[in-house]
Amino acid sequence: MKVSYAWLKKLVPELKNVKQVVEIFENHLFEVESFDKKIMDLKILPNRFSDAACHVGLAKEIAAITGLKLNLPKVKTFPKEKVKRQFEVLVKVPELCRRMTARYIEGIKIKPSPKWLADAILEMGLQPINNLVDLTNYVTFEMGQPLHAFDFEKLVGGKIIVRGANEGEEIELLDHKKYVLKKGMVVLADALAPLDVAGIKGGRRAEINNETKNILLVSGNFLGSNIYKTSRLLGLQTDASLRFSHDLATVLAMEGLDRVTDLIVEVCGGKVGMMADVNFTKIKPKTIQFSCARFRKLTGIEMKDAEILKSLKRLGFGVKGEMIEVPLNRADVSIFPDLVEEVMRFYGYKNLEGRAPLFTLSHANYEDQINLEDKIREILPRLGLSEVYNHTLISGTGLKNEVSLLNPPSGEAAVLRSSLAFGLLSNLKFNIRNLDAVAIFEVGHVFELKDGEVIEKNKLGLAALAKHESVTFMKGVVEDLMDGLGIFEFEFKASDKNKLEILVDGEALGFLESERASQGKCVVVELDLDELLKLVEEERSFVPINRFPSVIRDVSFEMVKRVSYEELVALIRKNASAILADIHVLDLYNNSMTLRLIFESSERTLTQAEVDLEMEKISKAIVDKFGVVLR
Amino acid sequence: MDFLKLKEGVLEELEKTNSLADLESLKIKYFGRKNGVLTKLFEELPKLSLEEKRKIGGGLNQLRGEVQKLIDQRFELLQAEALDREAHFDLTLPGKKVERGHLHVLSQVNKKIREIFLGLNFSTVLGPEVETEYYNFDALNIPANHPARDMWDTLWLATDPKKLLRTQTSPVQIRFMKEHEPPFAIISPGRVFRFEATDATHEVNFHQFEGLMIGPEVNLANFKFVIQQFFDKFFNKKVKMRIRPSFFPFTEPSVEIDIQLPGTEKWLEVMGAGMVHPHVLEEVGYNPNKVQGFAFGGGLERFAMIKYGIPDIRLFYNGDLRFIKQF
Repeated sequence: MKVSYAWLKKLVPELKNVKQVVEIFENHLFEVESFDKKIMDLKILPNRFSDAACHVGLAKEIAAITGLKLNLPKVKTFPKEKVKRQFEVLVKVPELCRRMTARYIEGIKIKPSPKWLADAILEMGLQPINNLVDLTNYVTFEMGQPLHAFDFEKLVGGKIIVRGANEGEEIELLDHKKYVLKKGMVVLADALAPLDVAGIKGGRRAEINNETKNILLVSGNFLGSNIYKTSRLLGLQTDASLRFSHDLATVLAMEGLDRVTDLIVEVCGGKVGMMADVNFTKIKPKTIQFSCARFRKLTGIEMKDAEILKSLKRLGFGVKGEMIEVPLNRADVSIFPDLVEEVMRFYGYKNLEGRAPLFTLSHANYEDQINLEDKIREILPRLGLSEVYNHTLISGTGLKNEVSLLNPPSGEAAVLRSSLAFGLLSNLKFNIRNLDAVAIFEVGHVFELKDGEVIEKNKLGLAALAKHESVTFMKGVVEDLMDGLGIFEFEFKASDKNKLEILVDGEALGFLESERASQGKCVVVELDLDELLKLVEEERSFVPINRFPSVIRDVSFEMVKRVSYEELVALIRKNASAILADIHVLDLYNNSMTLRLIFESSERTLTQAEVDLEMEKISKAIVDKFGVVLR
Repeated sequence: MDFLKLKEGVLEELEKTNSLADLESLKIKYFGRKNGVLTKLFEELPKLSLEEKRKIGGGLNQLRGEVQKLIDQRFELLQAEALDREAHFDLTLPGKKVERGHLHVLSQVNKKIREIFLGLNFSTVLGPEVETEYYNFDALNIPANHPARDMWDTLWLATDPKKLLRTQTSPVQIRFMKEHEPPFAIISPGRVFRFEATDATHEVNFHQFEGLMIGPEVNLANFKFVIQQFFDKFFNKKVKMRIRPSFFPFTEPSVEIDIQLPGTEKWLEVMGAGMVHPHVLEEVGYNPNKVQGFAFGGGLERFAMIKYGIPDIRLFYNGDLRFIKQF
């Protein structure tokens, strides 16, 4: 909100410069988003619209905090004249319109605004229109109460009715646009039709123009949530709707009306007539039982009772012992902590000293899921994988089980991802432009719609792309990962042509899928971390180290027909005795394969002869069954 | 049997042998037990007639000696070169690049923050990204149809009018409080979402970490202590802190925290905080007269950007390894 330094200086004459005011605001009131020599842009906090979203309110705060003299405008100096005209104000929606005040003024002259008024309007970022309209805006910026003036001659029936709109009622507003109203919206209407959308914007029908002589001023108060809803539904946000949405105090309505009346008589001339004040329940100021001891307990500041209560008094609260009376326009103060905040604001947080908490010790830890993720993050980078973060929201793919947004920020962010694969694949394709090989992983949440419910899962995604193949690399990564996590009973099971299921204890926990890309072969793995968490074991058992040496033999051969590694190994194991401990793929190029066979016994040193025998049996078996050509 | 031609052949091949390994292969080619050229020739000898044996045998022996000598000479030469290279190894050569994977900078920052708070007795808890309106707003004293909700531009699910993508991680704290009794201190980090136009400082999804400490006497001065500890340890320097009054529906008093790093002039807004509002405490079943405490929250990306001088928030999410491998 724009605030004029010159205006504030009129109200607090002892102010020195803008910087001084900015500092007061920042330390005791609101953030100043920007400022120059004349204007400050304040971020009015949502709870201070009733009292501090206007120059008088801000001036009062400055005076309270600094102790400088306040020079408030005097109100209700207009003379009482004999004006016969009568009118009526009816409020049909008392819960939505909590007060409606109105005043008739006769014989005004619409003219361009005097310089002081035009300047003030310009400082607020508006264009001066005429003396009357500018005064209503001026008083809003001065006192925080939105005001409106109707051309009385254009009203039908001498009545203003505050009522709910009828569904489909139309109105043309001052912006020359037509709006269709809905049930539940509040309007000010005359006998004919709505005159304005209450609390938001005035209508054209009773618009002020240069010929206007007699006016009806209105100054009301409306339920904030209703104004907020209406303004959203109509797509119409105005200074008035912004203020009313924050639930203003009802006292302001009359204060605003009187002040603007004063100024109108001074600037536009005219005689003051009848005033109506409808549906106003005079409220007693709230009292809150304060406690200085409790203040010290909540803040941890050793402040004396006298100083605490003095700050509340300076801020305009009534102080009777520890009973605090809240000024009517402080709609934001209703409970004890609100007063604590007031004292703190006055005191200034600069003086708050840190104090170590006196606290009951307990064993602080991370949730199990975090420990699992930390472990994964420990293992994967040393296998060469780097971590990526991808967007949760992606373009829709039209799948039935997709979770979509009601209000997507864009077409590319319309649906919640159901798999990490989408992001990972595009990461691979992006990075392969700069690298020979890419290996990445991501930990993240994915979402699916199942029977109308959103199922949210935590998943681990792995992906690799290299010019040759990445499947064996990725399988090795998964094996090392499982081992590192203490999952020893897992297996890969062929599922589709290019897909392997990853099973732990027979349960499918994820998959490995390979696909061709223009830059090579991609492989993606996705694992369900929620399920994995249930299976992770911490315990390992020691495996005795063999004291007898192992014998290593390699067998190289050319494959003549397509044989899977699985089949080869199954046959080899079938034809070997128990001394065959392990088989590795040493080399694979086109159809040439070299397998490394490791023989050992835990009871004796093996002889070359017996290993030779094994190799003969194995070689014969694979030649006979698969027709491989030994090299 | 053209011994001369054979010898010339060996010489030619020796010229091309530039490593000890190649020389070994050459040696095996000629002297190998099974298939060596010379070995095979000697094997043929017994099959020849006595006359032929006399004619060829001597020449073959001589050839063998000469070839062996040539090979030995070459060996000497190559070995001397190798030793010379070793003795004069160029220490100014650069180190071999070790290919290791890198954790994402946000994971590193997340871990650092968790660790710092663990050292202050704060446990870390997690919660779902898809939340209900109740946990994300109502329980936090943020009613519907109130401008206070505008502080968080929300993404709503099409499938359920009461479900949304959480705008902050405070719902995790509500869930925790409903299941636990004070005293406790927790951190709830996680991904959050806002209806935003993406630019250098705004993303639709980003990460927050929020803290909560509740006990019989946890007060505002305690908050200042805890948060000063955090800043100093996170930035590894003595950080200046400025506290300003603010407003959040779930805390009262509410404050905002700015920090100033040593050697700089700018104040950076990094956190919101305050004493937990009694309505929130009541909503989770606590008695505000018996327990009190503070809550605070900050953005993970913001802290990472300040600490590492990262200029654009979009860098965290574009999967570019040239960024990720920097950390």
